[in-house]
Amino acid sequence: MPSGHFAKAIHQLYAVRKLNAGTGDANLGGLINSLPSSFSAPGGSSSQPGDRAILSVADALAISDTSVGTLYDGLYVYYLHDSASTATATRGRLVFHDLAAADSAYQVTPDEDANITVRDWAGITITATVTKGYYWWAQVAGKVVARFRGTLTGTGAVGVGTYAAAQGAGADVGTLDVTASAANPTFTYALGDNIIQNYIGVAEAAPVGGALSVIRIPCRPKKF
Amino acid sequence: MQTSKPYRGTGGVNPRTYVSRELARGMFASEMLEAEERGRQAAVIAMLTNPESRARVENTFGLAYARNRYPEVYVK
Repeated sequence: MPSGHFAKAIHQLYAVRKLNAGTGDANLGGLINSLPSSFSAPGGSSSQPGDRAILSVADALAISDTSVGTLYDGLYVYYLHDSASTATATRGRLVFHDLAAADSAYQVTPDEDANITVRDWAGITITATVTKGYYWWAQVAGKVVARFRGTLTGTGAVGVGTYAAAQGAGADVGTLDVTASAANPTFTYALGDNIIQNYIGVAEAAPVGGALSVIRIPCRPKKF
Repeated sequence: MQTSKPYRGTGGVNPRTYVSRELARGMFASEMLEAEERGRQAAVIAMLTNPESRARVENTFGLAYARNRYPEVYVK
């Protein structure tokens, strides 16, 4: 559960880590091995699943590991990643709320659910990978680097809407897609439902199949 | 007193909800403040403990901006 201390810092940075470095926390709130000499131990201030942080453009730049990539402004949430998932959370892929876990666990999985599929997505992975069973931050809203499926359905362009590809499993699990444009599509309830439920954000760079590309996700957290 | 139009009514509307929906579109205003300060403090700690991080911010946004947003970093 989010611990909700006002002005509580993101714990990992006490150990000079970057938000998009490493593979997650093996222990809840992270294991601090050493502290800079100017800091006292941040007892009681470790991150809890469900904690949120909003980074401005400058904040995100300050805590980026640029060897992995640059973080952007947005809303980030600290999640527990499922230890028994088939897929592994990797940079730019969606993770989904794990319906098999208690709500209070704030557990996510990189696997697409058989029933609810991709519609209960929880965020996008920001590190190169997150080890199964570890805790780490995922980006929920704002500007973020996302991975697109190997072969796009439509044509990638700046400004197009991006959607969860819903490929079920395999190489394209957790990826995004762009839709094929049709001049006069026949509207159906199912089509409208898909558009609303699978929409992720707008492309700020032209998406390319099988590659990472920058999108912007509107702020609409689904879980608190 | 409740209104059937919470975005337009003037009475009976929880202002906290009103603010959150208008400004944050899904988060309470207090949660926004908490999360924003957490992000800012993360940057402060990164800049205090990593000179490269501090230089990156100063070079990109300017020293004046960095001093303004992260005053803790520049306290002597």
